[in-house]
Amino acid sequence: MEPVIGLEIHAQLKTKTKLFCPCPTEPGAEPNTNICEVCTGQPGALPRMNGKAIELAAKAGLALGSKVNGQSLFSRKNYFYPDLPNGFQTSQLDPPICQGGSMDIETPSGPKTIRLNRIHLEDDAGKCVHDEKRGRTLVDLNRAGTPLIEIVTEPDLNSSAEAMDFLKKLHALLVRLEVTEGRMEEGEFRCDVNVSLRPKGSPTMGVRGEIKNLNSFRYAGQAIEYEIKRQTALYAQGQPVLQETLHFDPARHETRPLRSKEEAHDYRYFPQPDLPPVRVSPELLERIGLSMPATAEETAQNLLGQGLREDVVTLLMDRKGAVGYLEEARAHYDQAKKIAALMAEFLLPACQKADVPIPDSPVTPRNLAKLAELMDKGVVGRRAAQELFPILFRTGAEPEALAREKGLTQISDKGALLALAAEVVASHPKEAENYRNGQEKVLSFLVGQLMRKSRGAADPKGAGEALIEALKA
Amino acid sequence: MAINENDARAVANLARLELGETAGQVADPARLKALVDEFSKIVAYMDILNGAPTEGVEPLYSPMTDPLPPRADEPARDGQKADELLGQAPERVGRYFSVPRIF
Amino acid sequence: MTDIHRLGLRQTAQALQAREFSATDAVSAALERIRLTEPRIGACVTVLGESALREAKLLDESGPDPARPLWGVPLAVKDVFDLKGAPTTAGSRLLENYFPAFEATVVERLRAAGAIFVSKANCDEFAMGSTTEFSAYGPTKNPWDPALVPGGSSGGSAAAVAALQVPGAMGTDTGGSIRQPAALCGCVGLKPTYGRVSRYGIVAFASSLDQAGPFARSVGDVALLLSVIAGPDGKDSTCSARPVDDYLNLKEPKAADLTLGLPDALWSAGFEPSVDEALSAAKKALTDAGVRLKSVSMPNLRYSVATYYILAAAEASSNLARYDGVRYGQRAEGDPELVALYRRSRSQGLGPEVRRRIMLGTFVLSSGYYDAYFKKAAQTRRLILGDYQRALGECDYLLAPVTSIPAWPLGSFTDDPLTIYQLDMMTLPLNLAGGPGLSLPAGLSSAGLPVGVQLWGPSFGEAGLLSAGALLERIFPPVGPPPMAG
Repeated sequence: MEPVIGLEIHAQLKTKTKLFCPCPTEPGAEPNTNICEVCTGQPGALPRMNGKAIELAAKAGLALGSKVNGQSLFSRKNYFYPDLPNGFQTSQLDPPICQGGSMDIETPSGPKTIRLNRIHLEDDAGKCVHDEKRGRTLVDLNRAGTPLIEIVTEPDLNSSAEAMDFLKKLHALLVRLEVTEGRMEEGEFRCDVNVSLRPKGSPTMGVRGEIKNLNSFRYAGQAIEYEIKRQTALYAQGQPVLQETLHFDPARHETRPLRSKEEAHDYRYFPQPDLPPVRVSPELLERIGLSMPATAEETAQNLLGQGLREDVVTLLMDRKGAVGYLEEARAHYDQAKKIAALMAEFLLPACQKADVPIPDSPVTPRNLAKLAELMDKGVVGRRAAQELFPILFRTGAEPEALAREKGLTQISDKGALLALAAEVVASHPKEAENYRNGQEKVLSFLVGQLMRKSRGAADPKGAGEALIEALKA
Repeated sequence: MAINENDARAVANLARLELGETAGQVADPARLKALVDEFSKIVAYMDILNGAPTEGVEPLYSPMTDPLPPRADEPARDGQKADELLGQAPERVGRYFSVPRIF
Repeated sequence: MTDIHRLGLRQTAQALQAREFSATDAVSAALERIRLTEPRIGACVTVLGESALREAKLLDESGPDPARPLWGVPLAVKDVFDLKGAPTTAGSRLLENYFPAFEATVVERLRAAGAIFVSKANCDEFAMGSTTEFSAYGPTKNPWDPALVPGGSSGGSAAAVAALQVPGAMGTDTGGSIRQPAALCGCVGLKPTYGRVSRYGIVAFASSLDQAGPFARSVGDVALLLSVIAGPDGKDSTCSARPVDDYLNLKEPKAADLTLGLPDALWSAGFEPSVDEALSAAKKALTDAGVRLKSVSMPNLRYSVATYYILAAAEASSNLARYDGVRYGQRAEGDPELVALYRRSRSQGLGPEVRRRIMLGTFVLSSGYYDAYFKKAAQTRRLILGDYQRALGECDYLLAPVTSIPAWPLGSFTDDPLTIYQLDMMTLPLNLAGGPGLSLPAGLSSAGLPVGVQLWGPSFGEAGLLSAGALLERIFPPVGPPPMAG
């Protein structure tokens, strides 16, 4: 049997205000403070569409190769729940703002294209808190009306690993594009997963289980794993898989059916009469396209083309702000590969450890570029760089001045090195003779002597070259 | 079409309305029948539309043809209004609206 | 002084600007008139005596302001408009104690123009009804005969204007709720084009059909109110950005230049004899004056009742889902589990007509029936719009009756919803098409009751429509105030 997996991802859009009213979307406020007549469903209140949300949804669509519809329509999805103030959710049914599109993921057998069905705009519900002591359910409407996009994939994924890869890549992309903040602990990026099994290679689809509201990559992976096992066992026992909605319990690593509702859902969708169709003009689309950074693929190709190692590219692309930092540093010293290597070795770990966003690093792109340049010129060696970086990170100092102050510059001046080499050759005539007679390994001994004479300040590579020249004399 | 009691019950349930019962008391059968019959009669009247020549006609959901005017993404918070809204609640716990426990 | 209540809206406004009497005098006169007539007609859900006098005093202290065209003018608003300091009941038990935290755009604009609100006018619950009998606060009665209905759903607004409680009032018209009570009470009512007046802060019945509009005792008075309330509103996405025309300097057309189309489907309906007689007299007066009348074909109007009730009920079922007793409004006693609490609160708080429409609306949207009912009705709506546009292409304006019968006795049809729905046939098509409609008295029937006609115009053509209305108003015999006005 082969698992068939589709995803529905909800990403909270990075807007300052809610989808249909000017209430702030920032989490963490006291309950029911970020509310107004619109997001609490007061009699007479009407929705006012946030233009930024339209732009962000279109931007996501452009980045994912979707068709952005010139005209899309909001509908009302009707159901009763205490966290749903209007008695309906305002969502897009037909047509949504974006249709189609795709994203590639890497699999052990090569790259694989995951197709998208659609991207649509909708508003979020409020939050219910269960008060055990009082036996009440408490409702906070601060989140009610927060703008979301829902990204629906085709069932093109076949393993939990693929699903997790897809989710991570999508998350990184949407965060990089600033479509979403993507704070998963705040529920700003969460997904529903549809899992079914079918005989390998069969075009038909099995009955699927839908696991709701997974808010971490790990939970999504675990939930899929468990659900595949559960359905495999049912097939093995000859029992039917029921189409049902499931909840994943991360503590027990298992999926459980959500308590069945009194009646089957009948959402009675119909066009939202309070909102005329959403228009995305070609001009707006062009503006969004121009303002958009390159796609992840383009960026990766570009970096590989500059000679960066693949693992370094992956590392940079996974860290918010890293690629931008590299671009800025390159403007000062155009050696992307060298700078990237320094970032991978020193900057990224330091930022992570200090919990500093990369763009806010105390070591500016200019200073990191300078460090790379000093190393290339042989002024600062690798060992010295290791010693210098923590100080640079702590103080924000200029690398060359600091290296000189700490006496960590190398002697790489050819004349100075030749003078030292001549002294070493003169004081070790026997070893010099042996070298000239073909014992080339003696050279490393002589380099060691030169380094000692310079108290470690000589550039080892230049020292070797200088000695060879002195020995020829 | 004709509506029977089960149909009417399903609709009432979707609409979160009681059907003839009051405060949870079972409906009087005669009253229930009258309600279902009345509902059925109203629905049956609507079948007059079967005669409308709508083949290939685009539905008209609103007379409004102007495009949606987008709002600038500028936040506004009105604490006093939030308090007034909260003050309307039939039941509250702290700053929360409160209802019977869901599950 | 004692006759302030007899003055029309513009006369009142002019007299106030000229300091012939004070805002306090005008408000006191209105309140006195309410005190006298209210026991017989029941037009008000809430009388705003204290706040109205307070506001009048403030205005008087600063003196008249020519930039505020309604300075000191007392008005009534239908109790579906959110207005701070008074409950917005929408005629429903469920909202008996609902105090809004914000105001309707229409209310804000009237206030800014200097108007003073003296009452929240009675209406059918959530504006669903044609008689104002479906108000949880008791029926309003017709000032021409308290045994008769005033029409509805804005019956309180119409009765208040007809009974000289106020010189002008606000109502809403979803299927005729301004035009029909205006006709039955003998005053002028305007349903503006959908999107001409903001719906913000008005309790929604059917969002694609609702439109707020004014009542007054003359076309010119209605035009003044429209000029204050019309125009773009960033808070209502369906409110048009189009600039507002000048409604104050109307250019009355010459009778000989005017061609009015008579929709065949409406004029061929049977009329009660006294109405028939009055309408025939009105048509004769028009042709005598030189106005050309011609029959225009609108074959799809026969579907308008079913189309309207399906669409309006569908939208209402969703608009009224918010009344669940969680955030505001009345919650049922007994604390049952949540679903039962919803059902009980809604059933106790909402009246039978509202529940009927929610049932119908829920049904036509439900799985398996959407295409056959809701979508079909939306398609038929386009056919009706097509009829309307074609018919207007053949004439300047359309002239239609408002009701086929005169004001009827209270209780006549309260248990017969389908008959009531069918009585709305003359007014519904305009809401489906979205255009503007002006209802004005055409004369008195032989039984001494007002009979109205309505003029329909092209969308956003209010200025022309009001101009034509002003001409008709001069041609028709004046109906005057009802006898009770004394």
